[in-house]
Amino acid sequence: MTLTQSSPLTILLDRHAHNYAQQFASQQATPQKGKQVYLNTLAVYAVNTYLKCFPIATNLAQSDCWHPGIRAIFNVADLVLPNFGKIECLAVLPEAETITIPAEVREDRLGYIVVQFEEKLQQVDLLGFISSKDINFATETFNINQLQPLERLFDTLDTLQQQVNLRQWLTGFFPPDWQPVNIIMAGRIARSLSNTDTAVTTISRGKAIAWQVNNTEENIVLVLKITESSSNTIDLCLQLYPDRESNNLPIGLSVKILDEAGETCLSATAKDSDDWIQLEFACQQGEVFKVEMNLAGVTIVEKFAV
Amino acid sequence: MEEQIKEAISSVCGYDSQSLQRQKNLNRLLILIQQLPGIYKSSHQDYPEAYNRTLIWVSKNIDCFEPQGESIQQSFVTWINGYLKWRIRDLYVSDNSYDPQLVYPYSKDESGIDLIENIADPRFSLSLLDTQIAEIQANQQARLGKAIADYIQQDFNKKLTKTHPRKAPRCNCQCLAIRLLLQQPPQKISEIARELNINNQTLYSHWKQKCLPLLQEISKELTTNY
Repeated sequence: MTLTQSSPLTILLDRHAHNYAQQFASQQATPQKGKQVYLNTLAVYAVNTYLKCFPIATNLAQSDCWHPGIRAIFNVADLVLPNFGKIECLAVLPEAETITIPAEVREDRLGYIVVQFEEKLQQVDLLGFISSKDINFATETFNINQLQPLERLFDTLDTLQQQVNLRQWLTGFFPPDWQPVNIIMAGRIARSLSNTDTAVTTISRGKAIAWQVNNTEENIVLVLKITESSSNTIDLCLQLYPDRESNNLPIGLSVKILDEAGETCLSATAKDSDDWIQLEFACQQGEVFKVEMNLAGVTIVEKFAV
Repeated sequence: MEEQIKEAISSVCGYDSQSLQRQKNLNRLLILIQQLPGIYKSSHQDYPEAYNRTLIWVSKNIDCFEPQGESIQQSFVTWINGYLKWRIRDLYVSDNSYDPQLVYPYSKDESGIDLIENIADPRFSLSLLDTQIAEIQANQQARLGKAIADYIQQDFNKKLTKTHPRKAPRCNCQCLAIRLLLQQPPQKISEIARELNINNQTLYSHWKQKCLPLLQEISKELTTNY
């Protein structure tokens, strides 16, 4: 038996996959376009199934390929990973050696998972992953031997999960998933974020956090306000809010602040009808901390450096 | 093989559930599982879904696996098959009601059926897909995809044709949408650029910044009618 980390992983195509594919293909202008949509749907469904093995949230409904109009016009097979961005699931035929990346899916992708079909559409092989930064888009294609093992996907996601540098916030640089509070809160009022002392710099940003719990999605907004109280110290105020679909935080949602050694410094848990949680603390320059949010046994971690 | 399995399992369980190394090791374990001899195969119509859900269940419960008897490999296969056979019987019952101690003791004679040959209902195959899809499309009264393709071809309000880089009217969104989206297989950007005598990068930027948002808007608008 030979086993390497670069062996493909096989996912079987169940009835739901074919039902979606059939339904989506039937809406297309031509049989050729229908075939493209059919295979894209199977590819995305298979990758979505695969990712359920890992603590990585996915959202098919938010993906362009699940939108009737967008998939009818573009050759899309994207899968949204709510806390990260999106990946593209590139469907390839048996024996394919080069892979063409459609012109409409070269932007906003973390990377590409290559999904190979067989003559009988009963299973697919997930051949590997290639990060967007390793692709020369000028050539519009890449060779299948440029593919990296599937597990490289996790390296890409891990890099994104690395700590957020709060010092950079003070100079106006923000990671893309940290949005201005008025945008991410969609007009709802975040509490006590206004700056009363104009002599100090205060910056607030929010990030959408999503869980997949028992096949339903739970969403919250994590807001962080930082105030530079002296050149060495930053005061932090962390708040959790429900997303716009809900009035209350999910019951049992807990949040912990951990220091560099992994010791819990502060914690709180949402009780019945809580509509926000707040934790306040201060950090010295050079300190790092983690925010651990747990819901139904699934933990999402955000790391920060001051 | 015994050692390989033992190491693969402990390399997953040894790490925190969120850690990078655990995800990578779990990925390797999944690859290993599908190469294990003796994993139950069946021509049952629910087998594909049950099999995928078994991979998910193993991923979430690997920390609970306790080898029984002398062979880890045999014990591991039995543990996986126990869930898989239970899941085939009922796809909808919750995982919580599965008790590995109670159902499906190991049975030697149930493996060895060739999966590929025996799965029922191979409704679609690659070489017949065009024909099969043409049939289901013909049964649709009105198709959104057709409406969008017609819109691009006709461009009755000239929205697409009038959107082009300055001094390059031929490189308009209608022309690009036809060549890059409607035509199968689509033309390459570099080919179109050569043909229209325009710089590659200029063409791609125009496509990305002007055409994609415009086409998205049009397709979303048309979707509301369906």
